Amino acid sequence: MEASITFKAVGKAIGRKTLLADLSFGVEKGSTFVLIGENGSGKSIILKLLVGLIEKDTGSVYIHGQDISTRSLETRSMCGYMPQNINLDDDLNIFDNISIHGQLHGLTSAEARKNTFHWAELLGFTKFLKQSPYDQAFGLQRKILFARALVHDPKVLLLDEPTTGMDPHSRSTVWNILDKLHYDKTIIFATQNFTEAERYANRIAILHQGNIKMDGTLERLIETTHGLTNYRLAFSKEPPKEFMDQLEQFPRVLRPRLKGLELEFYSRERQQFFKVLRLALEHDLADLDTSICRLRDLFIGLTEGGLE
Amino acid sequence: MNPFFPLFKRELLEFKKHAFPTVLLWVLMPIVIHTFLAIPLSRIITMDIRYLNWSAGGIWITTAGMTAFLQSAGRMRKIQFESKQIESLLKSPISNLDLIIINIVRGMMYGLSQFIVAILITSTLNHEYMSIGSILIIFIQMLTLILHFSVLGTLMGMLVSNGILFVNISFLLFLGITMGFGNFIPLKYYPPSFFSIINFIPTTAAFENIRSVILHNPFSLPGFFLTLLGTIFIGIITLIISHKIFRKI
Repeated sequence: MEASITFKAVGKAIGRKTLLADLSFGVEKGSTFVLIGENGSGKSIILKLLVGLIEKDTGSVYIHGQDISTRSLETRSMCGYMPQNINLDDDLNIFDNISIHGQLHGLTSAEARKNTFHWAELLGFTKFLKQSPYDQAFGLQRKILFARALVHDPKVLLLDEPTTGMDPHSRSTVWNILDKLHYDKTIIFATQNFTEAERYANRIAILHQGNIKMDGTLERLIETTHGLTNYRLAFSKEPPKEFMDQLEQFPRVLRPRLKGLELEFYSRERQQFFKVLRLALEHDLADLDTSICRLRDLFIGLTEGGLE
Repeated sequence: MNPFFPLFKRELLEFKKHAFPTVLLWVLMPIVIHTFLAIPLSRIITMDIRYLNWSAGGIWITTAGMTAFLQSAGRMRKIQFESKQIESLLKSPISNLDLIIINIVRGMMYGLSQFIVAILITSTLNHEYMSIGSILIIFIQMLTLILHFSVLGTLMGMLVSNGILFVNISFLLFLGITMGFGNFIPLKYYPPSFFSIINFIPTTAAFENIRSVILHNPFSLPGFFLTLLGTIFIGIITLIISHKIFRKI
């Protein structure tokens, strides 16, 4: 598949703090790529770098084959960007905020008007178009930013935590739109919401300290766990210390953690679970839950030193 | 597509929103300075011509200069430090130079409008009649000064993030223009040492040129061109600084 975005050994630092460390990856045209990471892992930095809000220190970045350093005006006009913070123009109403942004990206006044109404209608804020964006609820302000990112019909859509602060109905509207758009656009979004990442991404990258720790389709990422299962046991009263000490003796019970009345651990072998269960039954076991490893588990494992 | 069209459209929309208070300030500023500064000083300062006619130049410079400075600095500070709108502008396919030019032109438009209102008000208050030629020369001289203050405002707006510091800088600039460069108090009243220092500043000659036109005296072309050169120099510095500030974390 043809590459839409290519990062080659990109580095960015401020003083002694490394924000991106020798980062290399590619995103195919027409795919949805998700960046998952803790706060400060470099998700927003990658998006800001792509739209020219910050400059890299080393390496090269290409959007549709054009270098963002030498062809920045062209690459910026190809991208639609929805930032994490609200940066709407408080001197303009919602319509003008979106329409002027479209015109800055090369649309004529009539095209910008048509597209603004189109997105406002799809996102359900047509009746607020003549009002100030700062008189609206946070969720609606996020939808305005989303419409602003789409108004000039960009080839590449960069979304920084797009559904944060939106109600469930708005979230579903936004994802339905993205579902329809992803056939002819490259979408990159940064999120901390694992469910959304699992549901909508073609590829997922887990970022940690400015570098990609793991990258691939959800299925491929899950495969890397080799059948690791997550077990949760709930107790009606806190189990004694000896119980945890006994768990430490099982070498194939991975990462046992007691949080309040809930014990969480991982294992690839059912027999290990039965052994723990037998022990737990002696200590007021109230409930249990098992699930195969998901993105959340992988993320915790990778960012907190490994599940093994 | 030229990015200036949508950016100008944006400025027009903003002006429409704040038209009434803006025009009110344009009218009030020259009246207040005339009433509280020029009239009391006219009772103290003696000169060959009527003081109020002489000080009209000071009113034009102060009001138009301060308006250009405050508008360009205020807008730059707002997009950069207060609302983070700079992100949506820098994301758009426009260069740093485009952004700076539009900010300077914006400040100039406001400064020029203020100057036109001020010249109408002072002419009415002083029953002053100037020839088209004099008005044209004053207009060209003022255009240079307004450009100068607009560029200075853009630079300050880019550098000064602290609100209180910015207010203090603006206040000092106001005091400097009104009291320090002979716009309301003739330079002969200042100590000779001070006079010799401010004579090195090209803007002093540009201010003096405005008064020379009022007095029907020949004006200094070097002063005019030096101010223009100084303005271009500050403009280049502003552009260089923008590359150090914009697109940086």
